Amino acid sequence: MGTTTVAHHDEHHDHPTGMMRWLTTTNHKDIGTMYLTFALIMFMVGGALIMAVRAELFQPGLQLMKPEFFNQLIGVHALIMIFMALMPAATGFANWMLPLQIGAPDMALPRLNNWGFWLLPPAAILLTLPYILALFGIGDGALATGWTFYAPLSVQGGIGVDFAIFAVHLLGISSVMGSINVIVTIFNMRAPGMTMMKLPMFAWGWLITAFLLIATIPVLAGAVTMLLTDRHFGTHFFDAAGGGDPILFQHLFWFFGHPEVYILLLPVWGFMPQILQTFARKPMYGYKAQVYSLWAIGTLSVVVWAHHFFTVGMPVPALLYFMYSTMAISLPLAVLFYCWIATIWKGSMSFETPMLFAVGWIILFGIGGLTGLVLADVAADAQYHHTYFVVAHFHYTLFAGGIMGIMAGVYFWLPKMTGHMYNEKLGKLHFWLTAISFNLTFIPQFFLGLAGMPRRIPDYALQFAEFNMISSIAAFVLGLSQLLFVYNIVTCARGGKKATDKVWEGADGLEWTLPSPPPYHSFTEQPVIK
Amino acid sequence: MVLFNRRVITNMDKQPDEARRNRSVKLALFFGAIAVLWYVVSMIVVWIQ
Repeated sequence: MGTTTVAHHDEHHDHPTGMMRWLTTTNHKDIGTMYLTFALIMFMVGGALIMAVRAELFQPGLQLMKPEFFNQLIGVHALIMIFMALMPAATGFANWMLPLQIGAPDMALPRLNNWGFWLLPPAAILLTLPYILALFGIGDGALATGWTFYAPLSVQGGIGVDFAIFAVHLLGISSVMGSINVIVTIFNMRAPGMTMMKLPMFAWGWLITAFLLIATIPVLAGAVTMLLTDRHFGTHFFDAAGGGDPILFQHLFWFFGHPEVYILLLPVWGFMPQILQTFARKPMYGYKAQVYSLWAIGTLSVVVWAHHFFTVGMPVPALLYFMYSTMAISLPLAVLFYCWIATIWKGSMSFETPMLFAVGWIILFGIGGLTGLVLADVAADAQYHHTYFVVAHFHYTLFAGGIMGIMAGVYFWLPKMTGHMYNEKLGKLHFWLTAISFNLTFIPQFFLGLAGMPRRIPDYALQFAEFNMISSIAAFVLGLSQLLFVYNIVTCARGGKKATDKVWEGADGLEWTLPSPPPYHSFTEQPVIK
Repeated sequence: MVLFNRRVITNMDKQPDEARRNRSVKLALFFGAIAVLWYVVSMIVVWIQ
């Protein structure tokens, strides 16, 4: 990949400083930084909520909270982690890196970009405000239905449901605006010579994510709008007593909810091969195979939704269809795994923190994928549905596959973003503490699920006590070890050893041709890809 | 109404030509319209059900 002159150009004109800079900025790097900072803050908030849950589950019986409050913690934890930590983190990377990687001066729609971000803080306030209102005797706390809003519980729930519905609308608008921006940027702002099949893999991952968001978020928004009318305007869309159908809500929710899993993972699948090739010092293996596999997975993800509620009662042909179509996803996913492993196979590997996270991610996300196959089996799912097996499975996919992937990306690009190297020893310590405590938290939960412990309960039978105790202790180590991550990022942003332009010996791509940190206006002349 | 001070829009003057900018807006409107239509259609489908 060759470029014309990529000179340093750091004129700041007369744009405002301080708070006004961040409120009004349309610069993709500023907005990317805001997304990533917001995601990190909300990751810690969501983590704190689940620490309280694990404290309650440390031993049988009710020690710390009422069951209603327990339910609120679980639902809000999930919504925060999905919509306010993982998605904004991926969008932050998109903002920071897509224009640099495709040689664009900025995102295609900078004002929309600013607006998309600033919808997030109000949504976060809406989601968590009911906790505070309840302290003053207003309402009965936050959403207590779990993140799935299942009717009829959500039709009957307190004001927390209304707040969550409005929050989800704002988050959805923000996501759709971000998606439109990504699609338009990739379609319309590529540097001359950068054909679609020369796109960096991260851009492919995000392009498919953006299409999935536009295809599914409106359906979720429609479903929760109708839920709102059921609650306050006398309709009965999901109310069986009035002729409605609660199961229909599950179909609508999971039409969004299953692709959402891939929305969270596809950006990571995009940049992870770039990390692997950098630290294996080898070209990426199977570029085209990976692109086609990403498309195949994206397409399949919108036709498999009902495997989330096999046990609700469906005709056998429907069960078989959703089982086989779900299992079919494992084929393109296996291609991706093959390509990732082939990329590092016989490479000249070094294990800096991003590579540690990347290799750990392949293994742990692999466990998430394989246990998903178990749950895709209708007969097995009848046993495992709504147990801790499911909880362990989706944390292997979304924590190991999603958040640990994001962490790999943070360590990979942080020197480029800040111009400083992070503390490598601290980064490695963070990896090992995270990987070990993560496994100690969730492996016991597989066994709890196999033994029949249901999810979303604050109390449990004595036979589950030991595994829960191990899981809780490990969860606290996992939570506390993330403070190292925050500390490392903050100290790196404030100073430290100067990063070179290329940062990593094996780095390849346009972003590494720019200085670290890149100037406010990235390219003085548009690069040309040869 | 001018939502943002023109001077604040840091990269606008560095963006490519006018035609490309117009194409960006058209593409954005197209995908935005799809999202809004899909939102309305999904509710109508549920209503008919």
